[in-house]
Amino acid sequence: MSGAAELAALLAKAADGDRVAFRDFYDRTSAKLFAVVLRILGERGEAEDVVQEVYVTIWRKAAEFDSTRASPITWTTTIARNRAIDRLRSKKLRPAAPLDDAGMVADSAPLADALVDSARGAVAVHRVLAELEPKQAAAIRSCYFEGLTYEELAARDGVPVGTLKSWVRRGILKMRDAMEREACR
Amino acid sequence: MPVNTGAPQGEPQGPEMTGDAALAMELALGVLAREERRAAQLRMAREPAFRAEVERWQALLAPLDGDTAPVAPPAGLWAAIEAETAPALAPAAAALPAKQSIWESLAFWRGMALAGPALAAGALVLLMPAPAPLVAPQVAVAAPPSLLAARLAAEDGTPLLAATYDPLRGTVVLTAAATRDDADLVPQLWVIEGSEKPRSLGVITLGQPVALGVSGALGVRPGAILAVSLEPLGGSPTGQPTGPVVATGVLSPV
Repeated sequence: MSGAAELAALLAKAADGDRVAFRDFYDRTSAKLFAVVLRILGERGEAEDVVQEVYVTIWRKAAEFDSTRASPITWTTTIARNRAIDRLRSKKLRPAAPLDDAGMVADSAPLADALVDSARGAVAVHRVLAELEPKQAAAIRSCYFEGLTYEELAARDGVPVGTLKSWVRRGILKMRDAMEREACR
Repeated sequence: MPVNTGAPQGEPQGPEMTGDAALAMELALGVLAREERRAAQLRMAREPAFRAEVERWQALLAPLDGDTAPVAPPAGLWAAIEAETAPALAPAAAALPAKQSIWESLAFWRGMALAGPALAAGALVLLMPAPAPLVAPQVAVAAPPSLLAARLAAEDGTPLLAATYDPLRGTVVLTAAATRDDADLVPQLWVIEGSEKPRSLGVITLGQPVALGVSGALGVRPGAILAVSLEPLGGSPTGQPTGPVVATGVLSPV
Protein backbone atom coordinates (compact mmCIF):
# COMPACT_ATOMS: atom_id res chain seq x y z
CA MET A 1 0.00 0.00 0.00
CA SER A 2 1.26 3.42 -0.84
CA GLY A 3 0.19 5.93 1.73
CA ALA A 4 0.43 9.64 1.12
CA ALA A 5 3.28 9.95 3.61
CA GLU A 6 5.35 7.27 1.86
CA LEU A 7 4.77 8.85 -1.55
CA ALA A 8 5.67 12.28 -0.19
CA ALA A 9 8.89 10.86 1.25
CA LEU A 10 9.77 9.33 -2.12
CA LEU A 11 9.12 12.65 -3.86
CA ALA A 12 11.37 14.43 -1.36
CA LYS A 13 14.17 11.96 -2.10
CA ALA A 14 13.59 12.31 -5.84
CA ALA A 15 13.91 16.08 -5.45
CA ASP A 16 17.40 15.43 -4.05
CA GLY A 17 18.26 13.39 -7.12
CA ASP A 18 17.56 9.95 -5.69
CA ARG A 19 16.77 7.93 -8.80
CA VAL A 20 15.98 4.76 -6.86
CA ALA A 21 13.27 6.62 -4.95
CA PHE A 22 11.94 8.06 -8.19
CA ARG A 23 11.75 4.57 -9.67
CA ASP A 24 9.90 3.40 -6.57
CA PHE A 25 7.49 6.34 -6.95
CA TYR A 26 6.95 5.39 -10.58
CA ASP A 27 6.29 1.76 -9.70
CA ARG A 28 3.71 2.73 -7.12
CA THR A 29 1.88 5.35 -9.17
CA SER A 30 2.29 4.61 -12.89
CA ALA A 31 -0.60 2.14 -13.29
CA LYS A 32 -2.97 4.68 -11.77
CA LEU A 33 -1.62 7.57 -13.84
CA PHE A 34 -1.62 5.53 -17.03
CA ALA A 35 -5.24 4.54 -16.41
CA VAL A 36 -6.34 8.12 -15.76
CA VAL A 37 -4.60 9.37 -18.91
CA LEU A 38 -5.81 6.44 -21.03
CA ARG A 39 -9.37 7.07 -19.93
CA ILE A 40 -9.14 10.64 -21.20
CA LEU A 41 -7.20 9.99 -24.40
CA GLY A 42 -8.63 6.59 -25.29
CA GLU A 43 -5.52 5.50 -27.17
CA ARG A 44 -2.53 3.71 -25.68
CA GLY A 45 0.19 5.30 -27.82
CA GLU A 46 -0.96 8.80 -26.94
CA ALA A 47 -1.35 7.83 -23.30
CA GLU A 48 2.20 6.46 -23.19
CA ASP A 49 3.58 9.72 -24.61
CA VAL A 50 1.69 11.79 -22.09
CA VAL A 51 2.62 9.60 -19.10
CA GLN A 52 6.26 9.82 -20.12
CA GLU A 53 5.99 13.62 -20.20
CA VAL A 54 4.25 13.59 -16.84
CA TYR A 55 7.00 11.64 -15.07
CA VAL A 56 9.71 13.81 -16.59
CA THR A 57 7.82 16.79 -15.19
CA ILE A 58 7.45 15.12 -11.79
CA TRP A 59 11.19 14.47 -11.68
CA ARG A 60 11.98 18.11 -12.50
CA LYS A 61 9.33 19.61 -10.24
CA ALA A 62 9.64 17.22 -7.30
CA ALA A 63 11.17 19.96 -5.17
CA GLU A 64 8.08 22.10 -5.74
CA PHE A 65 5.74 19.52 -4.27
CA ASP A 66 4.18 21.00 -1.14
CA SER A 67 2.38 18.51 1.06
CA THR A 68 0.49 21.30 2.80
CA ARG A 69 -1.24 22.22 -0.48
CA ALA A 70 -1.97 18.83 -2.03
CA SER A 71 -1.44 15.14 -1.41
CA PRO A 72 1.22 13.50 -3.60
CA ILE A 73 -1.35 11.61 -5.63
CA THR A 74 -3.56 14.66 -6.15
CA TRP A 75 -0.50 16.57 -7.29
CA THR A 76 0.59 13.90 -9.74
CA THR A 77 -2.85 13.06 -11.12
CA THR A 78 -3.55 16.76 -11.59
CA ILE A 79 -0.39 17.09 -13.70
CA ALA A 80 -1.42 13.97 -15.63
CA ARG A 81 -5.01 15.12 -16.23
CA ASN A 82 -3.83 18.55 -17.34
CA ARG A 83 -1.38 17.11 -19.84
CA ALA A 84 -3.91 14.58 -21.12
CA ILE A 85 -6.61 17.22 -21.63
CA ASP A 86 -4.12 19.60 -23.28
CA ARG A 87 -3.24 16.78 -25.65
CA LEU A 88 -6.90 15.99 -26.28
CA ARG A 89 -7.71 19.62 -27.05
CA SER A 90 -4.82 19.88 -29.49
CA LYS A 91 -6.28 17.05 -31.53
CA LYS A 92 -9.07 17.75 -33.92
CA LEU A 93 -11.06 14.60 -33.43
CA ARG A 94 -11.69 12.48 -30.42
CA PRO A 95 -11.26 8.72 -30.81
CA ALA A 96 -14.37 6.66 -30.15
CA ALA A 97 -15.25 4.70 -27.05
CA PRO A 98 -12.39 5.50 -24.69
CA LEU A 99 -14.22 4.04 -21.72
CA ASP A 100 -14.50 0.63 -23.31
CA ASP A 101 -10.86 0.68 -24.31
CA ALA A 102 -9.81 1.54 -20.81
CA GLY A 103 -11.97 -1.20 -19.38
CA MET A 104 -10.66 -3.84 -21.78
CA VAL A 105 -7.06 -3.42 -20.81
CA ALA A 106 -7.60 -3.00 -17.10
CA ASP A 107 -4.81 -4.41 -15.03
CA SER A 108 -5.56 -6.46 -11.97
CA ALA A 109 -2.79 -5.07 -9.78
CA PRO A 110 -4.27 -4.29 -6.36
CA LEU A 111 -3.47 -0.60 -6.44
CA ALA A 112 -6.92 0.80 -7.03
CA ASP A 113 -7.53 2.08 -3.56
CA ALA A 114 -3.94 2.45 -2.50
CA LEU A 115 -3.49 5.73 -4.31
CA VAL A 116 -6.66 7.44 -3.33
CA ASP A 117 -5.93 10.30 -0.97
CA SER A 118 -7.68 8.46 1.75
CA ALA A 119 -10.29 5.77 1.75
CA ARG A 120 -12.52 8.20 3.56
CA GLY A 121 -12.24 10.82 0.83
CA ALA A 122 -13.14 8.32 -1.85
CA VAL A 123 -16.11 7.01 0.08
CA ALA A 124 -17.28 10.56 0.71
CA VAL A 125 -17.06 11.66 -2.90
CA HIS A 126 -19.07 8.68 -4.07
CA ARG A 127 -21.68 9.07 -1.39
CA VAL A 128 -22.04 12.70 -2.40
CA LEU A 129 -22.29 11.84 -6.11
CA ALA A 130 -24.96 9.27 -5.30
CA GLU A 131 -27.01 11.98 -3.60
CA LEU A 132 -27.06 14.16 -6.72
CA GLU A 133 -29.73 13.85 -9.36
CA PRO A 134 -28.56 11.05 -11.67
CA LYS A 135 -28.24 13.29 -14.73
CA GLN A 136 -26.14 15.78 -12.78
CA ALA A 137 -23.86 13.04 -11.47
CA ALA A 138 -23.55 11.42 -14.90
CA ALA A 139 -22.65 14.74 -16.53
CA ILE A 140 -19.97 15.48 -13.92
CA ARG A 141 -18.48 12.02 -14.28
CA SER A 142 -18.36 12.23 -18.09
CA CYS A 143 -16.66 15.62 -17.98
CA TYR A 144 -14.11 14.51 -15.41
CA PHE A 145 -13.23 11.06 -16.70
CA GLU A 146 -13.40 11.62 -20.43
CA GLY A 147 -12.19 15.21 -20.68
CA LEU A 148 -15.22 16.17 -22.77
CA THR A 149 -16.20 19.80 -23.28
CA TYR A 150 -19.75 20.89 -22.54
CA GLU A 151 -20.37 21.09 -26.27
CA GLU A 152 -19.09 17.58 -26.94
CA LEU A 153 -21.04 16.01 -24.11
CA ALA A 154 -24.20 17.93 -25.02
CA ALA A 155 -23.95 16.71 -28.62
CA ARG A 156 -23.30 13.13 -27.52
CA ASP A 157 -26.20 13.02 -25.10
CA GLY A 158 -28.60 15.10 -27.19
CA VAL A 159 -29.03 17.77 -24.51
CA PRO A 160 -28.89 21.54 -25.05
CA VAL A 161 -25.50 22.95 -24.01
CA GLY A 162 -27.09 25.42 -21.60
CA THR A 163 -28.99 22.67 -19.84
CA LEU A 164 -25.93 20.49 -19.51
CA LYS A 165 -23.85 23.37 -18.22
CA SER A 166 -26.53 24.09 -15.64
CA TRP A 167 -26.59 20.43 -14.50
CA VAL A 168 -22.83 20.41 -14.03
CA ARG A 169 -22.59 23.80 -12.31
CA ARG A 170 -25.47 23.19 -9.93
CA GLY A 171 -24.51 19.58 -9.31
CA ILE A 172 -20.89 20.32 -8.54
CA LEU A 173 -21.85 23.12 -6.17
CA LYS A 174 -24.06 20.70 -4.25
CA MET A 175 -21.18 18.24 -4.34
CA ARG A 176 -18.80 20.78 -2.83
CA ASP A 177 -21.24 21.76 -0.09
CA ALA A 178 -21.83 18.11 0.77
CA MET A 179 -18.10 17.37 0.77
CA GLU A 180 -17.56 20.24 3.17
CA ARG A 181 -20.25 18.82 5.46
CA GLU A 182 -18.59 15.39 5.19
CA ALA A 183 -15.28 16.92 6.20
CA CYS A 184 -16.90 18.32 9.35
CA ARG A 185 -18.27 14.99 10.47
CA MET B 1 -23.21 33.31 -5.10
CA PRO B 2 -25.18 34.74 -8.03
CA VAL B 3 -28.27 32.77 -8.91
CA ASN B 4 -28.94 32.02 -12.55
CA THR B 5 -32.53 32.91 -13.21
CA GLY B 6 -32.41 31.71 -16.77
CA ALA B 7 -32.52 27.97 -16.02
CA PRO B 8 -34.96 26.02 -18.17
CA GLN B 9 -38.19 25.17 -16.43
CA GLY B 10 -38.31 21.78 -14.80
CA GLU B 11 -34.53 21.64 -14.43
CA PRO B 12 -32.86 21.11 -11.06
CA GLN B 13 -33.00 24.35 -9.17
CA GLY B 14 -30.53 25.81 -6.77
CA PRO B 15 -27.66 28.24 -6.98
CA GLU B 16 -25.43 28.12 -10.02
CA MET B 17 -21.87 29.33 -10.26
CA THR B 18 -21.03 32.12 -12.65
CA GLY B 19 -18.01 34.13 -13.69
CA ASP B 20 -14.61 33.36 -12.24
CA ALA B 21 -15.96 30.85 -9.72
CA ALA B 22 -17.39 28.78 -12.56
CA LEU B 23 -14.25 29.25 -14.67
CA ALA B 24 -11.98 27.92 -11.91
CA MET B 25 -14.23 24.89 -11.43
CA GLU B 26 -14.42 24.26 -15.17
CA LEU B 27 -10.66 24.42 -15.60
CA ALA B 28 -10.23 21.86 -12.81
CA LEU B 29 -13.04 19.67 -14.14
CA GLY B 30 -11.52 19.80 -17.63
CA VAL B 31 -14.56 20.94 -19.64
CA LEU B 32 -13.19 24.10 -21.18
CA ALA B 33 -12.66 24.14 -24.93
CA ARG B 34 -9.17 24.86 -26.19
CA GLU B 35 -9.11 28.64 -26.28
CA GLU B 36 -11.00 29.15 -23.03
CA ARG B 37 -8.68 26.61 -21.43
CA ARG B 38 -5.55 28.42 -22.62
CA ALA B 39 -6.86 31.73 -21.37
CA ALA B 40 -7.71 30.23 -17.98
CA GLN B 41 -4.28 28.59 -17.74
CA LEU B 42 -2.66 31.97 -18.39
CA ARG B 43 -4.71 33.48 -15.60
CA MET B 44 -3.55 30.73 -13.28
CA ALA B 45 0.02 31.72 -14.06
CA ARG B 46 -0.51 35.34 -13.05
CA GLU B 47 -3.33 35.39 -10.48
CA PRO B 48 -2.56 33.58 -7.21
CA ALA B 49 -6.16 33.86 -6.00
CA PHE B 50 -7.50 32.27 -9.17
CA ARG B 51 -4.85 29.59 -8.97
CA ALA B 52 -5.81 28.80 -5.38
CA GLU B 53 -9.46 28.48 -6.39
CA VAL B 54 -8.56 26.06 -9.19
CA GLU B 55 -6.41 24.04 -6.79
CA ARG B 56 -9.28 23.79 -4.31
CA TRP B 57 -11.46 22.26 -7.01
CA GLN B 58 -8.67 19.92 -8.10
CA ALA B 59 -8.36 18.64 -4.55
CA LEU B 60 -12.11 18.25 -4.22
CA LEU B 61 -12.40 16.26 -7.45
CA ALA B 62 -9.25 14.17 -7.10
CA PRO B 63 -10.84 11.34 -5.07
CA LEU B 64 -12.90 10.54 -8.17
CA ASP B 65 -9.74 9.06 -9.66
CA GLY B 66 -10.03 6.24 -7.14
CA ASP B 67 -12.76 5.03 -9.49
CA THR B 68 -10.39 4.40 -12.35
CA ALA B 69 -9.00 0.86 -12.34
CA PRO B 70 -5.22 0.83 -12.73
CA VAL B 71 -3.80 -0.15 -16.11
CA ALA B 72 -0.18 -1.31 -16.24
CA PRO B 73 1.85 0.86 -18.63
CA PRO B 74 4.10 -0.92 -21.13
CA ALA B 75 7.36 -2.24 -19.70
CA GLY B 76 9.47 0.05 -21.90
CA LEU B 77 7.98 3.25 -20.56
CA TRP B 78 10.26 3.47 -17.55
CA ALA B 79 13.36 3.15 -19.74
CA ALA B 80 12.17 6.09 -21.82
CA ILE B 81 11.55 8.19 -18.71
CA GLU B 82 14.88 7.18 -17.24
CA ALA B 83 16.73 8.18 -20.40
CA GLU B 84 15.04 11.58 -20.42
CA THR B 85 15.71 12.31 -16.77
CA ALA B 86 19.25 10.96 -16.58
CA PRO B 87 21.94 13.33 -15.27
CA ALA B 88 23.79 15.11 -18.04
CA LEU B 89 27.01 13.18 -17.61
CA ALA B 90 25.47 9.76 -17.05
CA PRO B 91 26.02 7.13 -19.76
CA ALA B 92 22.31 7.07 -20.57
CA ALA B 93 22.34 10.77 -21.40
CA ALA B 94 25.58 10.59 -23.31
CA ALA B 95 23.97 8.01 -25.57
CA LEU B 96 21.21 10.43 -26.58
CA PRO B 97 21.43 11.97 -30.03
CA ALA B 98 23.63 15.06 -30.11
CA LYS B 99 20.72 17.25 -31.16
CA GLN B 100 18.82 16.50 -27.97
CA SER B 101 18.16 19.90 -26.47
CA ILE B 102 16.21 21.48 -23.70
CA TRP B 103 13.52 22.52 -26.16
CA GLU B 104 13.18 19.05 -27.57
CA SER B 105 13.05 17.44 -24.18
CA LEU B 106 9.96 19.45 -23.34
CA ALA B 107 6.72 17.64 -23.35
CA PHE B 108 5.17 20.09 -25.76
CA TRP B 109 7.62 19.58 -28.50
CA ARG B 110 7.54 15.82 -28.63
CA GLY B 111 5.55 14.33 -31.45
CA MET B 112 6.32 17.17 -33.77
CA ALA B 113 8.97 17.17 -36.46
CA LEU B 114 12.20 17.95 -34.67
CA ALA B 115 14.71 18.12 -37.45
CA GLY B 116 16.13 21.50 -36.53
CA PRO B 117 19.78 21.81 -35.60
CA ALA B 118 20.40 22.85 -32.04
CA LEU B 119 21.68 26.40 -31.85
CA ALA B 120 23.30 26.85 -28.49
CA ALA B 121 22.67 30.29 -27.00
CA GLY B 122 21.29 31.57 -30.27
CA ALA B 123 20.15 35.14 -29.91
CA LEU B 124 17.45 36.79 -31.91
CA VAL B 125 16.55 40.41 -31.96
CA LEU B 126 12.99 41.61 -32.22
CA LEU B 127 13.07 45.04 -33.76
CA MET B 128 10.47 47.46 -32.54
CA PRO B 129 10.17 51.12 -33.46
CA ALA B 130 11.72 53.21 -30.74
CA PRO B 131 9.00 54.88 -28.66
CA ALA B 132 11.03 58.08 -28.42
CA PRO B 133 13.97 59.65 -30.26
CA LEU B 134 17.24 58.07 -29.28
CA VAL B 135 19.12 59.71 -26.46
CA ALA B 136 22.85 60.01 -26.97
CA PRO B 137 24.03 56.39 -26.68
CA GLN B 138 27.34 57.28 -25.02
CA VAL B 139 25.46 58.78 -22.11
CA ALA B 140 23.05 55.88 -21.93
CA VAL B 141 25.88 53.49 -21.15
CA ALA B 142 26.25 55.02 -17.73
CA ALA B 143 22.59 54.76 -16.74
CA PRO B 144 20.30 53.10 -19.23
CA PRO B 145 16.72 53.91 -18.19
CA SER B 146 14.67 50.95 -17.03
CA LEU B 147 16.16 48.11 -18.98
CA LEU B 148 13.78 45.21 -18.38
CA ALA B 149 14.54 41.52 -18.31
CA ALA B 150 12.53 38.33 -17.92
CA ARG B 151 13.47 34.69 -17.64
CA LEU B 152 10.91 32.62 -19.49
CA ALA B 153 10.53 29.12 -18.08
CA ALA B 154 8.40 26.12 -18.90
CA GLU B 155 5.65 24.97 -16.59
CA ASP B 156 8.10 22.62 -14.94
CA GLY B 157 10.56 25.43 -14.24
CA THR B 158 12.97 24.60 -17.04
CA PRO B 159 14.44 27.91 -18.28
CA LEU B 160 13.83 28.33 -22.01
CA LEU B 161 14.44 31.94 -22.94
CA ALA B 162 15.90 35.09 -21.51
CA ALA B 163 14.28 38.32 -22.69
CA THR B 164 15.73 41.80 -22.40
CA TYR B 165 13.79 44.92 -23.35
CA ASP B 166 15.72 48.07 -24.14
CA PRO B 167 13.33 51.04 -24.13
CA LEU B 168 15.95 53.32 -25.68
CA ARG B 169 16.28 51.19 -28.75
CA GLY B 170 12.75 49.81 -28.58
CA THR B 171 13.98 46.27 -28.98
CA VAL B 172 13.42 42.99 -27.24
CA VAL B 173 16.32 40.57 -27.40
CA LEU B 174 15.45 36.95 -26.77
CA THR B 175 18.20 34.51 -26.01
CA ALA B 176 17.14 30.92 -26.47
CA ALA B 177 18.78 27.85 -25.04
CA ALA B 178 18.30 26.22 -28.42
CA THR B 179 16.23 26.54 -31.52
CA ARG B 180 13.67 24.26 -33.02
CA ASP B 181 12.14 23.52 -36.36
CA ASP B 182 8.79 22.01 -37.09
CA ALA B 183 6.34 22.28 -39.90
CA ASP B 184 3.04 22.93 -38.15
CA LEU B 185 3.53 25.38 -35.33
CA VAL B 186 5.34 28.64 -34.64
CA PRO B 187 6.15 30.25 -31.29
CA GLN B 188 4.34 33.53 -30.65
CA LEU B 189 5.37 36.04 -27.99
CA TRP B 190 2.73 37.71 -25.81
CA VAL B 191 2.77 40.39 -23.16
CA ILE B 192 0.19 40.36 -20.39
CA GLU B 193 -0.35 43.31 -18.08
CA GLY B 194 -2.32 42.70 -14.90
CA SER B 195 -5.74 41.40 -15.82
CA GLU B 196 -5.55 42.64 -19.41
CA LYS B 197 -5.89 40.17 -22.23
CA PRO B 198 -2.62 38.89 -23.70
CA ARG B 199 -1.31 41.18 -26.42
CA SER B 200 0.73 39.73 -29.24
CA LEU B 201 4.29 40.94 -29.72
CA GLY B 202 4.48 38.84 -32.84
CA VAL B 203 5.48 35.46 -34.12
CA ILE B 204 9.04 34.49 -33.25
CA THR B 205 11.18 32.93 -35.91
CA LEU B 206 14.03 31.56 -33.88
CA GLY B 207 17.36 32.53 -35.33
CA GLN B 208 15.95 35.43 -37.38
CA PRO B 209 15.18 39.04 -36.45
CA VAL B 210 11.49 39.83 -36.41
CA ALA B 211 10.09 43.31 -36.85
CA LEU B 212 7.13 44.11 -34.63
CA GLY B 213 4.44 46.75 -34.94
CA VAL B 214 4.36 49.89 -32.84
CA SER B 215 1.66 48.44 -30.61
CA GLY B 216 4.11 45.70 -29.69
CA ALA B 217 5.95 48.08 -27.39
CA LEU B 218 2.80 48.90 -25.44
CA GLY B 219 2.49 47.06 -22.18
CA VAL B 220 6.13 46.00 -22.05
CA ARG B 221 6.81 47.31 -18.55
CA PRO B 222 7.86 46.06 -15.12
CA GLY B 223 5.54 43.44 -13.68
CA ALA B 224 4.10 42.49 -17.06
CA ILE B 225 4.30 38.84 -18.05
CA LEU B 226 5.91 37.60 -21.22
CA ALA B 227 4.58 34.31 -22.53
CA VAL B 228 5.32 32.12 -25.53
CA SER B 229 2.61 29.94 -27.04
CA LEU B 230 2.71 27.58 -29.99
CA GLU B 231 0.43 28.72 -32.77
CA PRO B 232 -0.50 27.74 -36.31
CA LEU B 233 1.74 29.08 -39.07
CA GLY B 234 1.26 32.81 -39.37
CA GLY B 235 0.32 33.22 -35.73
CA SER B 236 -2.83 32.91 -33.68
CA PRO B 237 -5.91 33.22 -35.88
CA THR B 238 -7.91 34.79 -33.04
CA GLY B 239 -5.51 37.38 -31.65
CA GLN B 240 -5.35 35.42 -28.41
CA PRO B 241 -3.19 32.39 -27.54
CA THR B 242 -4.77 29.23 -28.92
CA GLY B 243 -1.94 26.73 -28.55
CA PRO B 244 -0.01 25.42 -25.56
CA VAL B 245 1.75 28.06 -23.49
CA VAL B 246 5.31 26.76 -23.34
CA ALA B 247 7.06 29.47 -21.38
CA THR B 248 6.22 32.38 -19.12
CA GLY B 249 8.24 34.95 -17.18
CA VAL B 250 7.78 38.28 -15.36
CA LEU B 251 9.50 41.43 -16.61
CA SER B 252 11.51 43.26 -13.98
CA PRO B 253 14.00 46.12 -14.05
CA VAL B 254 17.60 45.02 -14.43
